[in-house]
Amino acid sequence: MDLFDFAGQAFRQRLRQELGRWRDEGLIDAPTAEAIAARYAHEESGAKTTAAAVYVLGSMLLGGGVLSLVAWNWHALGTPTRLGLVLLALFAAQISGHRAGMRGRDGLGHALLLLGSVLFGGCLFVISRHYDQGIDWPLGLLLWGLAGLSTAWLFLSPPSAIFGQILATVWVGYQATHGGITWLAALAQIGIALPLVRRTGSTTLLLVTLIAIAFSLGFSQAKEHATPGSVLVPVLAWAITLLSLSASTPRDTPLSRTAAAAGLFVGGLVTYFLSFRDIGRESGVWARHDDPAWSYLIPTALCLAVAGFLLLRRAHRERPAAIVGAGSLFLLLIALHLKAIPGSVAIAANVALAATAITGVAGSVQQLRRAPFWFGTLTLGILIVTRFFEYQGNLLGKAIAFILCGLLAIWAGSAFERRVERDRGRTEDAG
Amino acid sequence: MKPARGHGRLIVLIALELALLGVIFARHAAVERGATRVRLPFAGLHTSRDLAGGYAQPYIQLEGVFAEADTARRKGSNCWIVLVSSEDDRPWRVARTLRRGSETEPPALAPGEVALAGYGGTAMLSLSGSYRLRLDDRERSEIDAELTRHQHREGARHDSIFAARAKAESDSSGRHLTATEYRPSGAVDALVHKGAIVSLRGMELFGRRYGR
Repeated sequence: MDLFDFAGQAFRQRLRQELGRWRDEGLIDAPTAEAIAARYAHEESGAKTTAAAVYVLGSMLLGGGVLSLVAWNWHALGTPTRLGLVLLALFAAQISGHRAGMRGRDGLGHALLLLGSVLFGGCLFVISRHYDQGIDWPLGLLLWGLAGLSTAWLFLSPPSAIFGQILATVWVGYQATHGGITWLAALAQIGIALPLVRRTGSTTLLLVTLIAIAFSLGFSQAKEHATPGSVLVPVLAWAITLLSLSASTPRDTPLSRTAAAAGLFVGGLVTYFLSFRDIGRESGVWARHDDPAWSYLIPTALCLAVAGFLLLRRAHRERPAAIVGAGSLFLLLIALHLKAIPGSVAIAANVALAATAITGVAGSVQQLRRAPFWFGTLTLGILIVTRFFEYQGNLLGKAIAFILCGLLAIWAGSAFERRVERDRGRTEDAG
Repeated sequence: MKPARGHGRLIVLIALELALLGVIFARHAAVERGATRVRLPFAGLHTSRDLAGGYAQPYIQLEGVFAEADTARRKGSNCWIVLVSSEDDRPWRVARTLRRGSETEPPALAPGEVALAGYGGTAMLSLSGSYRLRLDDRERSEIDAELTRHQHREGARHDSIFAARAKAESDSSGRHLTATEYRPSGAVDALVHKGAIVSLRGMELFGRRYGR
C-alpha cells in the first residue's frame, strides 16, 4: 500500500460503505464481501496516512534542527566530536527505523529512515567545514541523493526515495550550471526510480519521479546558447509522452491516473506561461539567437517516438482529454519552432489549454465524472480571467463577458450536478 | 516497507553511507594537498552574478569568495576567480573562454596561484584598474569582440561597460582605480592591502597591462 495514497484512501472509504449495502441487498454474500475487503485492505483508515504524514513532517523538522546545529558556529567542539554526534544521530535514526519496520510500524519506520537520509547531509556538511572550504555542492548533492536512494532500495521506503529523487533533480540543475550534464541524467533517473516504483507500488513516488524527470530534461538543456524554447521543448515532449501513456492504458489503473496527473501538471504549467503574449514571443527556439543549441532534439525525438508508439499501439477512448492534450502540446511544440510567426506560440498555448479543458469537461459530462469536470471548468475560468487581465480593452465589454462566463459556469455546474444526482437515483431504483 | 528477517540490509546501508562519506573525505583531502582544484571559479561566477543587483550584499559576498580563495592559496591549491556581471548569458561565455584547452578546467595555474578574471559591467569596474587579466591574443580578441557585440546589442542600457572600457583604456599608468563609489572594487582593494590576496598573476586587457 502506498504510504500517501490519498486517492486510494477515498476509494477504500467508499468501498467500505458500498460493501455493507451490497451485502444487505444480497448482491454479494459475506465471504465475498470479506474477500473484497481483504483485497483492498479496506479496514485501513485515514489515521494511518495521517500518522505517516505527521511522522514524516516530524522527521523533516528533526533533521532540519540537526542540520541547523551543524551549521551553527559550533566552535567549542572539534570536528571528530561534531562528526561523531551527527553520525550517532544518523545511525540511531536508521537503526530505530529498521526496528520499527521489523515490528510492523511501517509509518514510523519510513519516517525514521527519512530522518537518517536527511542527517546524512549533516555529515557531509561537517566534513566540508572541517576542511574550511565549504561543501562541494555538485558532489555533495550527488552523494546525498545516492544515500537517500540507497535507503529507499534497501528498505523499499518511498519517502526516502522521494527525498533522493528531489536531491538528484537539484543535482542535475546544479550540475547544469557548472558546465556539464546531459539529458541522459533524466534517463538514469527513470532507470533508478521506475524499478523502485514497481517494487514499492507507490503512486506518490511515481508522480514525483515523472515530474522530476521533466525538470531534469529542462535543466539538462539550460546551458550555453540555450534559448527558452530549447529548454522547454523537451519538457513539453515529455508531457506528451506522459499523456500518451495515460491514453494507452486503462483509465482506472494507477499508472494511467498518475501519468495523466503528471502530464497535465507539467504540460499545463509550461503552456500556461507560454499563453502570455510577451512570454510566448520571447520563448521560441530561435529567440535572441540565430543558431540555437540543437542538443534538445535527441531527447525530444525520443519522447515523441515513444508517445507515437504508445498512441498507435492502443489509445483508450475514455481518455479523450489526454489524447487532445498530447495533440495540442505537439502543435505548441511546432509553434515554438516557427521563426516567422511571432505570435504563434501564445496562440498555440491558448488553444492547447482551451481544447484540453473543453475536451475534459465534455468527456466528464458524458461519463458523469466530477473531477475532470471541475478541473476543466477551473482551467477555462483561469484562462479567461488571465486573458482579460492581460489584454487592455473596453471595461464594459470585460464586465459583460465576465458576467456571461460566470453565469455560464454556474449553469453548467448546476446542470452537471443535477445530472449526476439523477443518474445516481436511477441506479438506486434499478438496484 | 520490506519485511525484515535480519539486520543485513541495515549493515549494508551503513557500509554504503560510510563509503559515500569516504568519497567526500578523499575529495576534500585531495584539495587540501593541492592534488586537485577546488571549484572556486564557479563560486566566483555565481557570487558575482549578483554584483549588478546592488552594492551592499555583493560586498559581503565578494569578500567571502576572496576569503575562500585565500584559504585555498594558503593550502597550496590554485584557483580561478571569475567575476562577471549579471547580464544575460555572460557567465557561460566567460566560463567557456577560460576553459580553453580543456572542456572542464580553466587554464593551468601553478600551485598556490590565484588568478582573477573579470568580464561585464560592474565586474569590469572592480577589476580593470586594480588587477590584470591574463589572456592570450585569441582569448583577448574573443572577449573584446564579445564586449563590442554586447555594446551594440544592449546599447546605452549597460553604460557601465562603456565606463569600464574608458577607465581601462585611460588608466595606462597602471595605478589603481580609486573608485570608492564602487564598493566591490573597494572590497578587492582592501583585501589586497590586507594581504589576503598576494599572488595574482598579471593580466592584460585590450592590449595593455594594468595593475601592479
